[in-house]
Amino acid sequence: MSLFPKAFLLILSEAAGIFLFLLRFLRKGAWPAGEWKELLKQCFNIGNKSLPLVGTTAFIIGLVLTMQSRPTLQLFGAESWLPAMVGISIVREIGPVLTALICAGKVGSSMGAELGSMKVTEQIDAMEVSAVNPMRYLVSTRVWACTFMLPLLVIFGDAIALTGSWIAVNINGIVTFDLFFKKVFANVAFGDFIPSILKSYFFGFIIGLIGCYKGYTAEKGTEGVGQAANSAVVIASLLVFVIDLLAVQISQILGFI
Amino acid sequence: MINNSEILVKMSNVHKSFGSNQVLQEVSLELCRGENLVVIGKSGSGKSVLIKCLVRLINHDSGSIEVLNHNIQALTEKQLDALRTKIGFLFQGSALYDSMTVEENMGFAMQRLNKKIQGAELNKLIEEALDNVGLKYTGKLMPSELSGGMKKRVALARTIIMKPEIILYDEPTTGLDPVTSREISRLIVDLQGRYQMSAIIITHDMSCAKITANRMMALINGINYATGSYDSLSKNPDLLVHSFFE
Repeated sequence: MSLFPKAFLLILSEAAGIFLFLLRFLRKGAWPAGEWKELLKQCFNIGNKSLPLVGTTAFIIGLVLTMQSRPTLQLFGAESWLPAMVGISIVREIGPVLTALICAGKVGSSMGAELGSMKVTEQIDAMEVSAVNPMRYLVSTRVWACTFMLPLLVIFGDAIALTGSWIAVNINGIVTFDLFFKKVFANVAFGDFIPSILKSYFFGFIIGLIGCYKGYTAEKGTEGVGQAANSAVVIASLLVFVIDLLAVQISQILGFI
Repeated sequence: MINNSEILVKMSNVHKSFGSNQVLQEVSLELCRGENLVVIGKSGSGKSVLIKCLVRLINHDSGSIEVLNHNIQALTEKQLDALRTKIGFLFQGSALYDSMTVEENMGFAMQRLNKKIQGAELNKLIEEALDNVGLKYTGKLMPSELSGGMKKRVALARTIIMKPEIILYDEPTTGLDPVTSREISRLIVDLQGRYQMSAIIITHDMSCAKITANRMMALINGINYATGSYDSLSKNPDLLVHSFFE
């Protein structure tokens, strides 16, 4: 048998597994009722603890994007468009996708490993036999925390990336902070933020869902925990791009772009 | 005190296979109120699968399982949860929630299932349960700070705090030294006497079986091979049964 059908079957079975897990999530623990303390704890873990990584990466990307774009814009005498170009790129695309990918790596892998470890040490079974709903306590809290925190991280990341860009602009000249951001917001409309923030909610939901799915279905002891963490990152990152593709199409249809 | 007329668990002709591997074949057993039934068998003989089928952690393929007069296969998830509150389960690796302190582990299910018992009343119950297993001052510790024997004791305390009617023990003495193993076995008998609970104890530790068993069952190759008291099985001339007692 050639490699293609085998890989195709694997993708199909993974997609079916995710879909069935989503149905189980909706049926057994769609809302973390009574687990608000755990939801807040997860929001803190996902949101607050990701700030340094998201901030650092966004700052560097803002800086590098500006430094790389400047020479090309200079060739066309369009240097004054630099803040607008960087602003639109960051707000519409780079900010949400970059933040989502960082969270897929950091949060998705940590969820996969944590729940995977709980699964192989029978902690999830222990919860189930004591009549506590692990879908609500473990999965729902993490999925919703990730969904709520990602848009906030995106806004934070956008602000830091634009600050990085302003610093890069000031390497070769003097532009005040005020003037730079006036230029950015003269070209970035409120309509640019709407699809960007909306898709961030979906990114957050899918990262949380995939991280929990891979952890919840981990098998084969410690080896399985590693595999769960690894595949959570790979699948979540891939799905972030798929959602981004769909979001762009929908934004175009609705006239946001 | 064993009450032979009241059967709490009745398993009839239960089959379970994973792919082509037949794990349980026509297994039948009964557990009476106040009884400790010890199930012995080699590793991989289906002992753990057997007790996981009793709480529907694993679904059996055929046969019937009645627990506290409920056909567990016919229960809705809500009814199953209600039944599970009357059954305690001690896992082989203790399965303590490692992100919670001992106290939080103990109160986790109680806080969610019995909203009336909270605060000081709950703390008192936790303290009492920990005291029962000889670990009164460990409430603030994390599971990673406990030894293997202490983890088993805490897991046992976490189980008895819910005052279940039946406790299912999955290898309660595995990985423990002989002294701690004996202590845990005596604790099982002691708690059973104190709380009038019934138990199915899965083990291949014969010293644990000797201390805890009212009745024993040898599960060999997924078949209920022999049943009887510790003494009667130890004198059984069948080589397969006898090999456990050597």
